[in-house]
Amino acid sequence: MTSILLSLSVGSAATLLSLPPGIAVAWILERTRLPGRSLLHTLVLLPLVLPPVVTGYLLLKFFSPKGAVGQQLASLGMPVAFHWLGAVVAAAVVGFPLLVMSVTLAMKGVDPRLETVSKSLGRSGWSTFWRVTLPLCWPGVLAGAVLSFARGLGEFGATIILAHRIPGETETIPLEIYAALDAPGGEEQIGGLVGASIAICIACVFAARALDSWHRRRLELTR
Amino acid sequence: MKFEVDARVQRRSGFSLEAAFTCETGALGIVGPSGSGKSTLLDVLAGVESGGRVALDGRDVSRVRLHRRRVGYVTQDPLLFPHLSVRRNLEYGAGAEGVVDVAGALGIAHLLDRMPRHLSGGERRRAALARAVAVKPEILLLDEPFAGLDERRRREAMSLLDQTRRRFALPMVLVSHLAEEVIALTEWSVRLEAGSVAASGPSASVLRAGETQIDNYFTGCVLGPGLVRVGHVELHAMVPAEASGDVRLACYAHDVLLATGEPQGISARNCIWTMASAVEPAGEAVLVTLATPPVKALVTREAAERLDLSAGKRLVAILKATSIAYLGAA
Amino acid sequence: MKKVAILALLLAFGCRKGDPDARPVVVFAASSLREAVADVAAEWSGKTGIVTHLRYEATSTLARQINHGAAADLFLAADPEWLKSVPTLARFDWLTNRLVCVVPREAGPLDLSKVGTLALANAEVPAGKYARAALERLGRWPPRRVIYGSNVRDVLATVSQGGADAAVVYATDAAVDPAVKVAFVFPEESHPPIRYAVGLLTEHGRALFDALNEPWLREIAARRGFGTPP
Repeated sequence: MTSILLSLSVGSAATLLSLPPGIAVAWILERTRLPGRSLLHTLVLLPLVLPPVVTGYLLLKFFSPKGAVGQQLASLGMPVAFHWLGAVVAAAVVGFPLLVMSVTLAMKGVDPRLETVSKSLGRSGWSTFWRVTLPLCWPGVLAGAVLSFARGLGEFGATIILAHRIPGETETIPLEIYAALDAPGGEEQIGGLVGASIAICIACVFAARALDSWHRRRLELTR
Repeated sequence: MKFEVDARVQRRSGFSLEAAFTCETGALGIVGPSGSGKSTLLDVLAGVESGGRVALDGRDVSRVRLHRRRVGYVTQDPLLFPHLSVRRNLEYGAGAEGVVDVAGALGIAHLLDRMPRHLSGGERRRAALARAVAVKPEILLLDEPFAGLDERRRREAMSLLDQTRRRFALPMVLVSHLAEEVIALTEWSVRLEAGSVAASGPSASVLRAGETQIDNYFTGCVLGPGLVRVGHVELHAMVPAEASGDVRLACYAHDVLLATGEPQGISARNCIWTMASAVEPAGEAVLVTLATPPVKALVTREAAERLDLSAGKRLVAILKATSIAYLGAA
Repeated sequence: MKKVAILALLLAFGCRKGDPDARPVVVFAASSLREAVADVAAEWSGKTGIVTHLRYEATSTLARQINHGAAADLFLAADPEWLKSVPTLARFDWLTNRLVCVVPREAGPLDLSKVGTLALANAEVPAGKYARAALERLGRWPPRRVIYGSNVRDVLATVSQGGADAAVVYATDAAVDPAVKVAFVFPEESHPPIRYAVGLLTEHGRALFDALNEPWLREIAARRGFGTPP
C-alpha cells in the first residue's frame, strides 16, 4: 500500500515540477523563432528514446552527492540522488517529452493572431499567455500532464539508478514489484500492485483522451 | 496625423517591402493589387512587424513594441476572443470604463453579454471595431474590413466606420483593394506595387491613375486656387490650396467632351477652343488628339461621324474641373 | 558464388558444434567473488586452454535465472541455502568471508547507533540476509533509513558515490573500492557463517569443478581476502 501512495505522491510532484518548464519549452518551440530551437527540440525528445538506465546514469552523474550540484542541493535541504526527490526528478525527466509534445499540440490549436490582437490591445506577452493562450488550451495542457504523470509513475530504470530503492521514500510500484519478483515467494504478493498499476494507467489514458476531446470541442466552438 | 514612414521588410519567401512616404492626413488609404505588400505595410505601422522607420506625429515609434503602441488593430477576421463575452472582449484592453458608450455607438449594446460564437458576422465585425476603439488608441488600423461583404452590408459598414472615426476623432489607416471604399473614406492614399510605393497623393487621383482607360498626363503651372495654366490656356482643376509652381495633372480621355461650337449654360468650367491634330480609330471608338490642352479625347464612332471629325477641324474641348486630377508637384 | 558462401558458413558453424569440448565453461558467481573468480578462471584457462564465461550477480538472482532455464555449468553461491534451491550434480564448500561495515574513506569514527542512512543488500541476497542477522543481534534493527541494493557491489557503490553514511558488505568487497574503509568487523557469532559453495550443474563443468577444489586454485582465490572452511 505504501508504494501505491508513494507512486502517487512521486508522480504528482514530478508532474507539478515539470509543468512550468514544460509549458515554457513548448512556448519557445511553438511561438518563438529563437535560434537553437531544433537543438532544444532534440534535447527535449531524448528521454523518450534514451534507455532509461542511461537517463538515470546521466542524472546520477549530474546530481552526484559528491559533485557541485549535489552538494549545493544537499546544503539547501533538497538532496536529489539517493532520495525521494531523485525519484521525483527521474519521473519528471522521463515524462517531460510527453508533456512538451502535448502542450505544443494544444498551443497549435490556438490562433496566434488572437495573441497579436491581445498585444495590440495593450497586453504584454506574459499577460497574453495567461488571459488568452492558456484559457484556450488548458484542457490540452492537462491531458499532457496526465500522460506525463502516467509515464513517470511507471519509471523503473532511471529511478533505481538515481534514487535507488528506499522503502517509504523511493520504492514506487515498479520498484516494489521488481524487488518482490527477486525475493523467494514474492511473486504471490504482487498481484495487488500489478492490478493497481494497470488501473491507474487505464484511468490516466482515459482521462487524457477525454481532456483531449474536450479541448478539441472547445476549439471548434471558436470557429 | 503626420506619417513619416520608411518601411523595410525582407521575407524569406523572397518578397521584400521597401515603402517610403510622408504625408499628413486624418485618413490614410493603402491600396494596390494582391501581394503588393499592403497588409505588411499595415503591420509595420501597427508594430506587429518591425522593419525600417515609422514616425507618427513626429514621434519615432519604430522600436516601440506592439503592446506599448496605442493602436486599434482591426483585421479582416474579427478575431474576437472566443472564450470571453462581448463585454469582456471590449473590456479586455482598457477596463470597464466607457465600454457601454462605445458599444452603444456601434449598435451592439444589446449584445454585450453574448458569447462571440452566438453573433452574426456583421455583429462580430462591429464588436471587433468596438473593441479596438474602446482602448482609445492613437490611431485605428484596418485591414480589408469590408472584404466579403455584399453591396448593402458594405455600404452600412463603410458608413459605420466613417461615423465612428469622426465621432471618436481617430486617425485611420485603411487597407483595401477596392477603389471606391478608399476614395470614399480616406483623404490621402499610398499605392503599392510589388512592395514599393508607386504613387502617393489624394485618394481620388492615386486611385484613378491606376486604371486602364487612356490617361492624359500633362503639366501645368498653378495660377491660383484651383486654377492652372497649361500651355497658353487656363484650366480649372482639382488642385489643392497649398500647391504651387509646376504641377502634374491627369485626366481620362473619356472625360474630354467635344463640341463644334461653344455650349451655352453648361456646368463644366472648362470650354476651350482647340483644333484636332489627329483622328484615329481606337477599337470600337475614336481617339481624337487635341492641340491645347495636350490631351486625347475618346468618342464613339457614331459621334465622330455626326460631328464630322477630322484632322485640322476646329472644336471646343469641354472638361469638368473635377475630371482633371492633381498628381503632385512636377 | 552464393553456394560457396553458404557452404563456408555451414562449415564454420558445423566445425564449432562438432567439438563439444571446445565450448566455453559458463560460470555463475556471486558478485562478491568477482575478482577472485576472475583470477582463478584466468589461471585455469591458461593451464587448460579452455575458455570460461563468467557472470556475476547476487546469488539469489543467479539461482532464479538458473531455475528459469539459464544455461550455466557451475554455480558459485555466497550462501549454501541458495545452492540447495537449484539442482546440482555435486557440491562442496569453497571459501569463507567476514561481514564488515564500511564508511567513506574520509569519514570519522562510526557510531552504529547514529548512522543516518545505511546501505544494505536486498533481503534475499546473502549479504542482505547476513547483514540483517548481524544488525538484529547487535540490537540495531531496523535502521533509521535504508537504501537497498540488488547485489553487494551495488551497495558498496552507494557508499562510495556518497548516497549512504555506511554499508554492510563483505570484508573482501571493502578491499576492492579505494573510496571506502572498514569501520568495524561484525563478530562471527552475530550472523550465520558465510560460506561460499560451488555447485556442479552440468558434466561440462566437471573439469573446472574438480580443479576449484584443489588447493592451488583455492589459494589464488584466498589471496583476495577470503578464508577457507575448516
